[in-house]
Amino acid sequence: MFLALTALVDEPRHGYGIVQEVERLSGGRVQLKIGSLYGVLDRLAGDGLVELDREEVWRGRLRRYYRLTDDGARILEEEAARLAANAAAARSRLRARGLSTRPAGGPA
Amino acid sequence: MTAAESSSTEHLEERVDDSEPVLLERRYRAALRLLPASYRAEREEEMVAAFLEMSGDVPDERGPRPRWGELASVAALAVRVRLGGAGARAAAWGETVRLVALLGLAFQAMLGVYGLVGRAAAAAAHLPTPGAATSPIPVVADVLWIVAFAAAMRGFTGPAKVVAAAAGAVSLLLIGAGPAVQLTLAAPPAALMASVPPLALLAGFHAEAPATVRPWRLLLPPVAATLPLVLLSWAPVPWDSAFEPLLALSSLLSPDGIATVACAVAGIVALRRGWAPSARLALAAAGLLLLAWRLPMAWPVPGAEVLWGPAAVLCGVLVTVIVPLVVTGTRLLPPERRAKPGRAS
Repeated sequence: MFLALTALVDEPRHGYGIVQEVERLSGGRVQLKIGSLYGVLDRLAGDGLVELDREEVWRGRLRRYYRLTDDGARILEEEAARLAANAAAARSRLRARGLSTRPAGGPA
Repeated sequence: MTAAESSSTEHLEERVDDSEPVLLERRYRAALRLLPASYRAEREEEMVAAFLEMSGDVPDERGPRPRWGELASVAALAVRVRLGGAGARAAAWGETVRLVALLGLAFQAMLGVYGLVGRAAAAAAHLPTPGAATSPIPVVADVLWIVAFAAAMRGFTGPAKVVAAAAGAVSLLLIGAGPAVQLTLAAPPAALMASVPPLALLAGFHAEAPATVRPWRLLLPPVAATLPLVLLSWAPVPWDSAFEPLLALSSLLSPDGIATVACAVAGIVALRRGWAPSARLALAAAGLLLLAWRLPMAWPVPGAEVLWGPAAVLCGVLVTVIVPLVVTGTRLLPPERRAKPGRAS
């Protein structure tokens, strides 16, 4: 859910666009199935965190674009802050133990 | 229909092109039939588009098929939508399945307590217990069912699912290892009774299901219902004598006999006091399971009316209660609501 919301921060995306963006954001670790994606979208739309932006027809097929709502952005911000605090606490403990920590986004 | 939807439909109708691959699309659409019609009416086109974008253009000659992972995700979505999706109707079905899980686990826990207490009492008195097995596996099954019931009632649904699945698997193994005559008559309903609670638990207690912690006192009825039976079995009553009223009573004084009476009474109360449709339908489902369990015992055997007669009466009572529960429960379900994606304001 966190990655799906993140995928909609910069621009509205359609179903498969969200799948691709989530995969990109997670470095290929998370590959959403279509059934799972729509389960997530149902939940996010039900909670008012995403909403329909527009509909387009691409190569004769329907694409529905979803965008992040203000509530969605606020929830994502809170969740990001919580995860960042957890990560900072882990780094701090590791440093105290004498282990160096890689900067975020560094090579695995 | 909005202007955007109208425009989408027109373009979609223009899309038909004989040279385009259609087999994969047809198979994806077939998979989506697992979803309720109202959900498909709203989502099918965009889901098919997403599936096909993901798969790319695969010519029909290669016999493309949807991936198993995708099919599983659609099946999981179908369960969620049907049992907890948007709308009061799906929520009512979800609650029905959760109640069926709890009632099924309560029955199995009741059998478990009965079996454990009976074995313990027999061991303490150095007496043989009717039907007692020397293998420890039945004890394992009994304990697992009791733990699964307690965990589910107290809101620990994750552990409850694991333990209930293990209990169901052990019970099915025991049923499969039973004597051949038992396999023909009692095995199918017993297998049903061992399978339905874990399956209902898995399906009903999904991520969006409301977390409910039931009070400790609700764990007591299955225990309380079995203890008098255990005490009675040790009372100095000639149960195995040919005295017919006693024989008839002995067939009723069993865990499944007590459960049948309790289900019938609860069904009557549900009908008279206007209980919610989910409660009515759950009691009807529990009643059907007990009916299947009881039917082999109600099979008419000439000269043994005293044995099958009471079972037949209980089956009749169950049918009398189940039918109005199903009719009124179905009729009282909230109307189906069309699922709509979140709209832009």
